Amino acid sequence: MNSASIQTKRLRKSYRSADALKGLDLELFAGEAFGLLGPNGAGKTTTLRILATLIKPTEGDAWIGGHSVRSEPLAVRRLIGIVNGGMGLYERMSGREILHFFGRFYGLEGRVLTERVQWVDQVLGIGAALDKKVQEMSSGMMQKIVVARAILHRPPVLLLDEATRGLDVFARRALLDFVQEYKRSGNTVVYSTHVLPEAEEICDRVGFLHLGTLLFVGSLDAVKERYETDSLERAFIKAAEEAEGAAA
Amino acid sequence: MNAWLYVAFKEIVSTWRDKRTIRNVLVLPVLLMPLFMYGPAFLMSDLEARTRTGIQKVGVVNLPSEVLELFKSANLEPVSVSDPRAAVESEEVVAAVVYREGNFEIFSLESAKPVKAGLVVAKVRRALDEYKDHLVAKSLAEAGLDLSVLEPFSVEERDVSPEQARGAGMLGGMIPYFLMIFIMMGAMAVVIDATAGEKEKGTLEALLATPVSHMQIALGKMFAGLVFAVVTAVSGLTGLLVGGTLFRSFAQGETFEMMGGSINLSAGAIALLFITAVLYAAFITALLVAVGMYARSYKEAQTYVSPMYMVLVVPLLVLMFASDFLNRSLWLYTLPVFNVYLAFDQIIKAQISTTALLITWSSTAIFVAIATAWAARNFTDEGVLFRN
Repeated sequence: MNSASIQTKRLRKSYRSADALKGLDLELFAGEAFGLLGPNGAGKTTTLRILATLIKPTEGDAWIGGHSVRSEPLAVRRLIGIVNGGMGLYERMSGREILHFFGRFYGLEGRVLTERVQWVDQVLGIGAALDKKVQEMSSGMMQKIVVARAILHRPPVLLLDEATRGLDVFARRALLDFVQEYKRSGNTVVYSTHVLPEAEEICDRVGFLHLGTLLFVGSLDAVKERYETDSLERAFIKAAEEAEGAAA
Repeated sequence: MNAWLYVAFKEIVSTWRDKRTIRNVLVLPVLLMPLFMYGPAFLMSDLEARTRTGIQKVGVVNLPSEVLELFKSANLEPVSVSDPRAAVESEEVVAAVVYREGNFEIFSLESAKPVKAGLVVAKVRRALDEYKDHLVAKSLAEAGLDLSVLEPFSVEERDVSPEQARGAGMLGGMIPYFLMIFIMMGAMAVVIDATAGEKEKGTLEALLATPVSHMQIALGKMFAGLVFAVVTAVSGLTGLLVGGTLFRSFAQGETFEMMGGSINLSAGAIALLFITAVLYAAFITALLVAVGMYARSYKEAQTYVSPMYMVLVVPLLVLMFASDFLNRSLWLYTLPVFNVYLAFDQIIKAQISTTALLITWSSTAIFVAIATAWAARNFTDEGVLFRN
């Protein structure tokens, strides 16, 4: 298995009232952007939280770079960066202070840390926001710092959960361009969203997740062929209807 | 540097930059607490001194001339009135004295104006007592008896309390209480924002996804709370001491000295107070972290912390006035919070025993361990972290 890839086997997560994930099997590879698609409540956030070792699976396991999320959470966390739409920042700190604070957790110190901050500044075009307090930043600038925080240690796996939520058109465009660039550098990007056109633009493969079950995994061409439509949105609806029909 | 120290440093810097919190937690208590604690005693003391040296009008009806002379020498100005009750009620005079068939009757507004009226009535009583002594001495002399027959023995009181206990007095009992409030206020300033606040802002998830054990993150937040709690307590206590000294230098009456409130601590006692305060601060901080993590928002955390504050601190108010009546059995020093109050009180009054202190420290250390384990568990319990 490639060290930057992700694998899940029979991944199940139950909460008191229901199963949020019902045996997820996935294999993702280095250099690809994978779209984890589904409506609210499909299990996307649960999957990403398991991959980020924030919650434990009820059954099954997942591996990132060969490390189990169950038994080696610290090793997994060194390999990932996570961004979600609801993530905030420390409002009384500047962008640079936040990056320094998080960078140290990955062993980045001194000159190396300074160079990494310069790198994220270049890659994301942070500019003046680096030395502004968060409370003085625009939402687009804040989101750039959130992404910068996630990639500062150059993780081979980037987990994005509804990452464009609340962003204006410029900030959204910048983020989508960045994701494509990051993938081209040989990293794995998991892009979870319910905005399907975004996934259509940046993902190589997609997975349809509906009520905790993975209905389909394949390339965009495979989706079109399987569901006989050019629209990812229509394909997803067909997949969901087929699943519900089969269940009935 | 360890990750927990980075976390602690971030929390301290973040809190320090919140000017409103700093003003409410560090500046206002230092300025206002001495005012609340010593202000009333100072005012009473000042009023007492002014009443003693000043001249007050007293209504008189049918008083013997010797009594009128004694009133004058006691700085009371006798004023003839026809209706003593009306004269007092209209505040034409502070008190009125009527002599009728061997009986002196004193009219005053003692319940409505307890301090001023009480002080003037006391002056009147002293003058009347002097008149009584004069009459008794005269009668005894006429009977050929010596005045000493009235006092076959004398009584002298000796307060053998340590000097520190005598200085502490009534107000001294409030110092442990304020110390404990300062500790809680300081810890709260950091901890609620560092736990429920982080959850609400969505920064906690990013922090928990870093390659740092959640135990270290919990410890960092607790350490920041501990530092702030101790700093708040030290500055609050300094404010009380400096404020007390300032008020004392201006106070004139005896009441202020009687109320006490002065602390005369040796270096050893300061060290004992500090160790006890640090242990208590660690306990309170760990409790707050555990409770704060359970809340989903800053506001929700406040609704949890307020009852906790009532449960932990309000009973101490009772203790403040009732600690004299406690049989200081050693088991009392095993009770959380209660033991720390008793230890503070006894250290300030130089009456703490080594055994009681060791029991307080060791039991508090156990409570710190239990609360820390609870707080750390809440950082790994996904039911708590992602509670909907």
